[in-house]
Amino acid sequence: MTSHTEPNSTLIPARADPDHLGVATLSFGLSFAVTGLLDALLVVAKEISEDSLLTAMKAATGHHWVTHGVISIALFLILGLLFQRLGIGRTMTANGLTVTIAGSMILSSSIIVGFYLLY
Amino acid sequence: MESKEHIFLLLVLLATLLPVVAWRKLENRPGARTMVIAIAALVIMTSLGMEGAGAVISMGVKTALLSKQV
Repeated sequence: MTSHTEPNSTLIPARADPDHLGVATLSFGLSFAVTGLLDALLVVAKEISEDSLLTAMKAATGHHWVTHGVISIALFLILGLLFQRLGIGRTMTANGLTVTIAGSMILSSSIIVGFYLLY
Repeated sequence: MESKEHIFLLLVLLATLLPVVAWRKLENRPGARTMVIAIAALVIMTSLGMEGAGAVISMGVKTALLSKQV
């Protein structure tokens, strides 16, 4: 099995990362896709359960928006580092990851806009 | 308005992802170049969409205030 190394990166088998994106790009790109969807679902959940979840988020940092932002950024960073550690998404191509990110963005936006149109 | 605020959070995450993708040299990585362009385009289009939504909101307010005067 051939392998390649790049400056400032860990050893990556040649069959993984076919477009040489780097481990961080693959991990955090996938993390964005997951975090975006969870973010949209959190919006729906906090608007539906105002008495419980929204109140808890307000109590956590003083304003539910701050809590929401902290959760989103923390989730993005934690998932990115976790995917990097576990090697999840290493075989993705650049086009595949781009489509995943764009798809997640479109789906998350659609969930948020659709919910507020119907709610 | 609520939609705009919540979509902004996605924009922040996308803007955080962009320097991660563009961190190393791009001249020998066409796949990464494509990703940088695609993510930048997503950021721009989302921002323009939010601006447009803001314009719709302010037009709606103006229309409501004008009709109230009449």
